[in-house]
Amino acid sequence: MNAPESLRQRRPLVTGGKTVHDVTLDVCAPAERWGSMAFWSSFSTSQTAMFLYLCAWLLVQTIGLKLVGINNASDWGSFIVNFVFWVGIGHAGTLISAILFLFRQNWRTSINRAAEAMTVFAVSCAGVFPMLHTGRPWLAILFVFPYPNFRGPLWTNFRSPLEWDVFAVSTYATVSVLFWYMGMIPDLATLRDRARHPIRKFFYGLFSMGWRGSMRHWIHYETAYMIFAAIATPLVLSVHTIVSFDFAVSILPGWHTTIYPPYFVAGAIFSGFAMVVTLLVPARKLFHLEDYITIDHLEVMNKIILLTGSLVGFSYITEFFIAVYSGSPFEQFAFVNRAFGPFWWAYWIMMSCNLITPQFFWFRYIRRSIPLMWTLSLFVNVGMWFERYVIVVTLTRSFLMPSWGAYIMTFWDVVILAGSFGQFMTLFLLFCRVLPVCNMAEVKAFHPDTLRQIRESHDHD
Amino acid sequence: MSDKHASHEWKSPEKRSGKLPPATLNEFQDPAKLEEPSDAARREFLKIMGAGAAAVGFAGCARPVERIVPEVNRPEQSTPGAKVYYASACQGCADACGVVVKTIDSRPLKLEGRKASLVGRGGLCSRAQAATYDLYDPERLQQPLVAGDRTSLKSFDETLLVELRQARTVRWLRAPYPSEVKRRSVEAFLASFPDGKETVWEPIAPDAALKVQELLHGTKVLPRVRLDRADRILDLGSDFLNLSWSRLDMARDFSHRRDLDSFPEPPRLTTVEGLLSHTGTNADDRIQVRQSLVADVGFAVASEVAGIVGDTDQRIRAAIAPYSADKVAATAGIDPRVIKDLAKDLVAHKGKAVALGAPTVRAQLAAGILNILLGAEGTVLDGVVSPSLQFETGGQDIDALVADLESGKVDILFVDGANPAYGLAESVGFSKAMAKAKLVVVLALHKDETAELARMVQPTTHWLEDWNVAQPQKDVFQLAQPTISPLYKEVRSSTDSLLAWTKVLGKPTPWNAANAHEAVQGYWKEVQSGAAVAGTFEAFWEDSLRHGGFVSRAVLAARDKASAVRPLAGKDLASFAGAPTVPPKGMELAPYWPAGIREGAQGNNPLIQELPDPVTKQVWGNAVLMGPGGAAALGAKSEDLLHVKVGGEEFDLVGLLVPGQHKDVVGVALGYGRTAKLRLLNGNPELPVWTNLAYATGSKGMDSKIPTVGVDILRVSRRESVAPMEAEISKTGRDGRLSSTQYYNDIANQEKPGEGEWRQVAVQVNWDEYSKDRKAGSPEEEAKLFTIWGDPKYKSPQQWGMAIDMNRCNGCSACVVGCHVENNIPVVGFEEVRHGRDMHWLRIDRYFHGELETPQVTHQVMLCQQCDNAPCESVCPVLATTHSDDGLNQMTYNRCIGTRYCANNCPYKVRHFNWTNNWKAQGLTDLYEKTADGRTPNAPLAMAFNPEVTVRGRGVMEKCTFCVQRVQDARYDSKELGLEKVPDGEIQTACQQSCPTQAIVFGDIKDPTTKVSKLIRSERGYKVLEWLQIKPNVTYLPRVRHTADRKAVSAAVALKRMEAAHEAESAAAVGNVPSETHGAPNERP
Repeated sequence: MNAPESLRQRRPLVTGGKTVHDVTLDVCAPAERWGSMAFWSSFSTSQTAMFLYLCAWLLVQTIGLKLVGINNASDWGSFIVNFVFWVGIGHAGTLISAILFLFRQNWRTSINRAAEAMTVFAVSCAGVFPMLHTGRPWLAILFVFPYPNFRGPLWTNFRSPLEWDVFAVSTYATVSVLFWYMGMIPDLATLRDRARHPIRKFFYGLFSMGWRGSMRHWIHYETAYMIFAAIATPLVLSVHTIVSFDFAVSILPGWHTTIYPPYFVAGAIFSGFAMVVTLLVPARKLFHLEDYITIDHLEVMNKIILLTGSLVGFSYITEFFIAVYSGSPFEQFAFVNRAFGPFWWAYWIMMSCNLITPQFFWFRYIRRSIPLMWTLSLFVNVGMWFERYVIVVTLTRSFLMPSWGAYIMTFWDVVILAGSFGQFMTLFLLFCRVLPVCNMAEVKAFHPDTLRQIRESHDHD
Repeated sequence: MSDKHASHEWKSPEKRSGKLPPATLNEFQDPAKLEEPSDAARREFLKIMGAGAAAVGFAGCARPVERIVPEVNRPEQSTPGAKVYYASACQGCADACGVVVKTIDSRPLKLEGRKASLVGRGGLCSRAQAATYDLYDPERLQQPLVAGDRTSLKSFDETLLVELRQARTVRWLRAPYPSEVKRRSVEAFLASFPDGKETVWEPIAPDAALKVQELLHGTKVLPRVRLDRADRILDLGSDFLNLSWSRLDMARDFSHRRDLDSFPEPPRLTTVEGLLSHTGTNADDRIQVRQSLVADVGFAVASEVAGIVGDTDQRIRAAIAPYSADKVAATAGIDPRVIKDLAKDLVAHKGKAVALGAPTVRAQLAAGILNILLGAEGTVLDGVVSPSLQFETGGQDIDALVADLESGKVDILFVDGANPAYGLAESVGFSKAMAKAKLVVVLALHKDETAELARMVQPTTHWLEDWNVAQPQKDVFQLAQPTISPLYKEVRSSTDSLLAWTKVLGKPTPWNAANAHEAVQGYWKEVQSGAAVAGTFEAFWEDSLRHGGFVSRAVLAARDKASAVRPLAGKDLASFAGAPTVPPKGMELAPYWPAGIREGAQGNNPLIQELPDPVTKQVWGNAVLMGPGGAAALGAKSEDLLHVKVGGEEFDLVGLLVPGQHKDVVGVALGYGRTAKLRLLNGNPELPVWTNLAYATGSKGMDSKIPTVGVDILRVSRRESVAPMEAEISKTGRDGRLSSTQYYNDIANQEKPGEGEWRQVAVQVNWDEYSKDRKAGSPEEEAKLFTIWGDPKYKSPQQWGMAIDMNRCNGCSACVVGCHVENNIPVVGFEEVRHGRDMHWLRIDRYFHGELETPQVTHQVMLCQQCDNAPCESVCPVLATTHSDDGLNQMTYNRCIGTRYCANNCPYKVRHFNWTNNWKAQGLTDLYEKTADGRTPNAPLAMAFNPEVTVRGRGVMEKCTFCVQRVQDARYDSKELGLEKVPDGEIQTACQQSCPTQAIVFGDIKDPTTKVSKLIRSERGYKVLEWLQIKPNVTYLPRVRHTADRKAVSAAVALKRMEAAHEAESAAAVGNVPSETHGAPNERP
């Protein structure tokens, strides 16, 4: 990989005087050691949450959706909120691995693996909800795919945004998994080469697909990586655009707005980067990767949070303005109702977390303060969950006043929300333990030593 | 196969239908002719032989023939799956409306109004609509009980006979029904004893009205009220749409008179009441006074009227003398001009004005006097030509019966179809007196409260299994025929029982009949000879059965003419009118009969329990209804648990705010708080599927042992159950729970003055505006905006649409129940309704307009609008909801996966999701679940299902389909007749059919000549949310309110002004009392 000249002037991407060999040692270490107390305690907590999650789903699927808070007025509830939330989380990973790659942002190398893993796991969490929120998931899994059949005109409905979702999310999941896995092959080979236990050797060998690191392998690898990046780039924009269509295509006041696609994409990246910060701050500590995921990396991410957060905040204000400007009393009512209706508290949680919190990142000190940024990133996560909540509960007060209702989450709603975090954390912690958390190959490519070597070899020429 | 069944197989359609082609070949032809050599050549012969051999060869390849034969023991003259309709008479109450019973495979499934019937006239109330669920109720008594043990009818009769032979004093208590067969059967039976007397009683009986009729006219006859002739109606708390005799006819006539296409000006209904009654919601003007002052206001109006009319009878003058408008108005806290203007208005419409009174003697008397003064007798009221005979008047009254029971001389008390242990006010002391009878025999459908106290209980048939007759109005004869043989062996109709026991006692039975069928025929012979109908009895009988009864042409012609005026009887009226009422200082509690559950007899019927009250929209229980002023005084809001002290009893009951109720009046619905051990009341441990549909609100203090659905206010109410009582009400500080289909806990916020008016959903307009501009109040026609979709193009020659006239609709909710029965819609129970998961495909939205204290109420039937650009269709990912060629928005239940996006995107929120297996909650999916002793107690419920409509399971969205099964039926029928189109009026949706006021019209909207097309094109028609461009196909006609010019306004303003003055006065008297504590009842000296 060619390193641009400009990098010479920048701060090094790997600090602490780590050598290229240290990169291998440090990144492989978690996979080659017995887990720490911190690991096992967080892993068992996550697994407990996941177990409760499975139990809750089993119960809801056996008895029926009457266990959760949705009703005739608000036919969608926390499940859709969770779905949109998790899909949104995934976006940061794809942005880092695809768009930043295409823009030659070399600082991405140390965080892209973890961010992509986050994408894959977030999408897997998200994927559960749209299927299981249906009344008859056992049929939903069959009927939403346009397989050939004898039922004549009874096929899928390509006019439905939910059908677009099926394609958007499944494509996204497929591309994310493949991209993530393919990028991991050289590192899996490193782990294979270092493995001594035959079982470890076998599995790492199986998944590294006979990678030998030859020049031909590298040429293929880099071409494929480039192509995947090109495929994944539009997905960053399209997936959440289509998810936003679930709302925007409806005719409900407060849902039917053209601002949704850009506002959802900005929101997704915003929440995704916040989640990356939330995850990597403890992970770099837990797995001793502070010299690879440096404070500079985190600062850059905080800058993106500031940018996207401001975009989202701008959208909130624009929505209000358009509601006034439209002259439609229904639209105006929907927004006044959001701010001052029965769910005013959710609205103001959303506003303060998403509009105010990121503004703190104007200050360099806060951008570079680990505890502050971690706290702020949590606020953003909460705020972005509530953003979707606010949108969904708009349902409770639609056109006809006699059909207005309430939406109150039940115990099972809460268990399933908490449980989906359990699923996510279980997967993420497993990933940290058995797979290379940093992209060793790429980090080495932009290691100060490598860059020096390249520079020297250039000087010789 | 035995020969018996051979006829069920058939070889060709001709053979099956019996239309064989004429024989072409005689089997026994001349043998000589047959042996004639054929002309066929050899090649021909070989050809045929070859073909024959090949055919045989092929035949050998075929699989052996397997014959299946359907329905071995098919009953004669029945076609499986075909609908058979029987005309009959409803016996749900004494009104005796004509019904048509739809049966499929010999199961009665749906009751519909019989159009030609003179009572009901094609309408049917919610009670009758739900009757099939009573019939198939799994908790019906199936065997007689003697001292709590199940026994057979035979041994029951043997036991009873021993008692009968020894009995001297026998009393027979029964619910009223204008059946000569029943009356005479009871009479004959009671004649067997030295002292036999009968009592006819029902909780909601017009006793007071009958008494006043006797006072005024000397006869105990209720007039037939012809509201279509009334331009002015003064309603003195009568709630006539709900409580009157022949209430469906009242509703029908009232609505007909409000039809703006038929009459130049709508009538004006002025209601005087403290509560907001069902009828009050339909009023043009409401005068709010304490419930106890309603009759006083009536007398005051009468005295004003008498002053204008002059020349009034001395007896009337004496009665109304103490009631001057100024005095009464001062007591009631209203502007006296309201009463004076009202009187002027009534007098201006003399002969076309009528007053209707609450079921109390004083209110009835005030109404009766007004009717005489206003000349309603003979014009609006018909007390001579064809008056009502619905409520029988013979025998003892209930107080005399109680006295007899108390004296201990009664040997046997029979209770037939009545439930006095529950339905009679505690103060009458019936239950205690009943214990003093030597033997109590109850003939009932359920083991109700009275049956629980009886030693012998004989299960009766449901009226759909019975023969009966009715003469609801003079010379109007109805015939009720059974539509199914009794479901259980050991049950017997009470008429059959009476006749059997009379026979066994060796006494003559009427018409010498051995059973009800013979008795009915005997009576019908009398009808034939009475009306001098020519022809054989068989022909007359069959014709009457076919038509559900008989009315002679002469009677029909006479009914519509003005009636004779009944003279004033020489009675003293003043003592009944009494002195003006001094209202209680504090709150008064007014019990009232609610529209849905009425007197509570159908408490075990899920459809009735889950029918939202037209006014409060509450289901599964009652509440303390507070007006806005009352709630402010109590510092209470909806869902607060209130503590009520009334008549020496105390209880806790949840509060509910009702706009438009007088500040000093709280209302509590009667008909709740039943203690019988029935599934929906407080759980029947005998049923394997214990349902949680009901939420027992429990009534602390009243009867802490048994949790009940709602609170039984009859325990404290007076002899006249609706008479208001002084009550002390306070907050308990705890939260209560109630279940309602409209947003209950925010009712005041939601229905703030003006709030939501801009939505222009339920349009109401005042007559003065409307008479100038027929489009007044309707939403602007934004629908003319540019659309890229264009008009829909349907392949079918017909497209279905509906028009709903909100001016005709009074919100009675019969359509809601009709829709449930027709479409197998489940009920969901207290908790689920509370969570906003009710399943009513068709609901009635209630809107309040104007001020919280003086609102106007509009009822709007809301159902699927079958939009041309249906927003639900485009968002379904699996095409479970699509558009049909005739413009229906159809649901494919099998395809539905339940994403519920369609329901989100439906602006009318008329799609309903099965959040759980709703039918299972009622035990309907575990039909064959067995108890330990091998019974399947849930089984009869399955018979209530309409086989033409899918029963939906969990996770499926469902909605109104314009009764697509009926549409398709009519289409097939028309096709068979060779018609291209279904003629107008052939299809009647279930809601339309049962609508007592004909507010719903359904039909082809492509054809401009149909009734519905005319309504849709009428200039007052508008569509709800038309600006959304979704092209709904239900047109609404706005509610036009004929409010008096400025009068209602001045009444409201005056009321407010006087209240303010009063408050300022009392504040000045007490000193600077902070406003928060002011008016709290327990702080008053």
